[in-house]
Amino acid sequence: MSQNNDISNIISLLQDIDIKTNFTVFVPSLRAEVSFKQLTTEQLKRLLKTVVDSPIYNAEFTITFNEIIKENCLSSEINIDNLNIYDKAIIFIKMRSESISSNYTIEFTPAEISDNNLIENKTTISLPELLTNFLSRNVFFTEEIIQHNECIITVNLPTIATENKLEKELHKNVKTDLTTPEDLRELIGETFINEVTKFITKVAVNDTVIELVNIPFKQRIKIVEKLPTNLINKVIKYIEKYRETIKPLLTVNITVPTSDNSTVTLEKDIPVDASFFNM
Amino acid sequence: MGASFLTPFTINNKNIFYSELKVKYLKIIYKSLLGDTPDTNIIFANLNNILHELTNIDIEEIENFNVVDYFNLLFDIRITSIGSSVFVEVPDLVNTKIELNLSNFSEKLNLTKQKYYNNKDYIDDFVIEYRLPTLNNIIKLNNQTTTDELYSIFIRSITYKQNLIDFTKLNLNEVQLVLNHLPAKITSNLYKKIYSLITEFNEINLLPQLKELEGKSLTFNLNINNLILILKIIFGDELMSLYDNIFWLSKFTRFTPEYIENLTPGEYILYVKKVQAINSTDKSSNDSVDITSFDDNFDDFS
Repeated sequence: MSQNNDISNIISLLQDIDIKTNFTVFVPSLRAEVSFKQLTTEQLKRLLKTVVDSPIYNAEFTITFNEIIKENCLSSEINIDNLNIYDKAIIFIKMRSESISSNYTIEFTPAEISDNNLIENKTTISLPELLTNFLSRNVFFTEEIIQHNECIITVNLPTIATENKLEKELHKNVKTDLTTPEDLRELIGETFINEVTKFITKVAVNDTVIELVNIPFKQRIKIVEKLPTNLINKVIKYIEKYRETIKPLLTVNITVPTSDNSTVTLEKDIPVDASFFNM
Repeated sequence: MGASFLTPFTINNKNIFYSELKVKYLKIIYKSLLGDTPDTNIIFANLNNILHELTNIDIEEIENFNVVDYFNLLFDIRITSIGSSVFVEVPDLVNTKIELNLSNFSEKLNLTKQKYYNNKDYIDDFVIEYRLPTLNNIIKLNNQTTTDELYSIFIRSITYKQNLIDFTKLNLNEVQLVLNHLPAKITSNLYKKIYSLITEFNEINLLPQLKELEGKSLTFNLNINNLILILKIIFGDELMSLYDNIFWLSKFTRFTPEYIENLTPGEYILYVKKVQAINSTDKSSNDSVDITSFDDNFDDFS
C-alpha cells in the first residue's frame, strides 16, 4: 500500500476519485441517460448552508443546486441551462440516492403519531425504488400553445436558466420578514405571478412575437401581468397538471403500523430543499 | 523505577506497570488544579510528569495517549491509591455527600472506546480508519474550531484503492482540502459515526442516578474544561488541608515532611488515623496535641 502524504499526490488522487465516483440518470427532456459525478463534501456543505435560506423562496438552495448540477455533469455536450424542472426533480432524487444514501428516513410529526396511534416515529423509504416506479410511468412533458383572440402564448416547463434568472433577479435579496397582512398579500400576489411567468416562454400578439426566455425576469412579469385572465387560467391548469403528474415522485404514501394492530397510510412530502441531503 | 509496588495496566494493547501514587504527587496535582480556572498547560504538564515518573514512559509517548486511555490511567491510579469511591458534596443538599463510582465510569468509557478505537468502515472503494483524539487535540479545541477540524481528530486514515492518506500527518488546511474533495457519501457516514461517538461519551455520566440529582450530569464531554472539572472532583482540591495534616503529623511524630510526602495516600491515612486514635486516648494528658485542625475528611480525599 502506498502512503500519500505529499499533498500534490493527494490532490491528484482526489481528482481521480471525483471523476470515478459517478452515476447515470435518465433525463426525460433528452430521452437519454446522462452521467453525473457524486456530490463532493464541499458541495454538500454548500447545500447544507442554504438550510438557513429564506423559507419562502428557497432561492439560495435553488441557485446552489443548479450550480452543482452544472459542475457535476460529465457530458460536456449537454447544456444544463436547457434542462427543465422535471429533469431537475429526477436528478435531485438520484443525486441524493447516489451521493448520500439510497435510503431516506421520514419522520412523523407528534400530531401524526398521536392522531394515528403510530408505533414508530419514523420510517425509511428506498429512493431507487421510488425513482424506478415513477420512471416506469414514462411521463414526458411537452409545450402547449394556448390562444385567446389574437394572443397566443407558448407554455412549457421552466428551464434551469429561467429558474436561475428568477431567483437571482427577484428572490435572492428580497425582504422576507412579513409584519403585516398587507405584506403577506403582496408576497402571495408576487409569488403567484412569478410562478405563472416561469412557465410562459413566448407571447405572440398579431405579428409581434416576444421570446420571454431572452429578457430579464422583471420585464417578463410586466408582460405577463397584461395577459388576459383567460390565458392565465390556462397556464395555471398546465402548472397544476405538471404538479399532479410529478406528485408520485415527490410525495410518498407510507403504510405504517398502529398500536391497535392495524395500519394507516400517510402522505408525506419529500422536502425539495437542503434538508433532503441531511443524513 | 526502583523498588516500588507496581500495578499493571493495559494501554494501546500494551501492558505497562505503574508505581504507587505518593502524597507529594497529590500535592502537585492539588497545586495544578488550584483556583476556579486553573491553567490547562500547567495541569497537564504536571500530570504528564507525574505519569512519566510513575510509569517510566516517555512524556512524548504519554502526550500521544488517546484521551480515554490517558484518563483511564489516571482513574486507575486514583482507584489503586485512594479507592474507587469519590465523595462529593451536593450544593442543594446540605450536609450530604454522594458517592461516585469511578470504576463504573472507567469501565463504561472503555466499552465505548472499544466500539470505535481502531475501527474501520468500508464504503465503496474507501476504507476509513478511526482513532480517538489525544489530550493535545482536545486542548486545542475552542469556539472557533470548525467542524472539519473537530471531526478530523477522530480520523486516523482514509485509504482509497491502496492509497493511504494519513490524517495524523496533515495540517488543518490539508485536512479541509481532503475532506472537501471526498464524495459526500463518505464524509456523511464519517460525520455520522463520529457524531455518534461524541454523543455516546456525552452520555457516560459520573453522577449516579438519584432522584436528588435529576437533571444534573457530569459526563465525559470532550471539552477540556469539563475534563479538568472531572480531575478536580476525583482528586479533590484539599491543598491547605494537606499542608495542615503534614504539619501536624510531623509535629506529633518524628516523621519529616519529606518522609510524609513520600508515603502513599493509604499509608498517610493510616498514620493519621493512628495519631488520631492515640491522641483521643490521651485527651487528659498534657502531651496531647490539639489535632482538631486535622481534616477529618482527608481520608476520602473529597
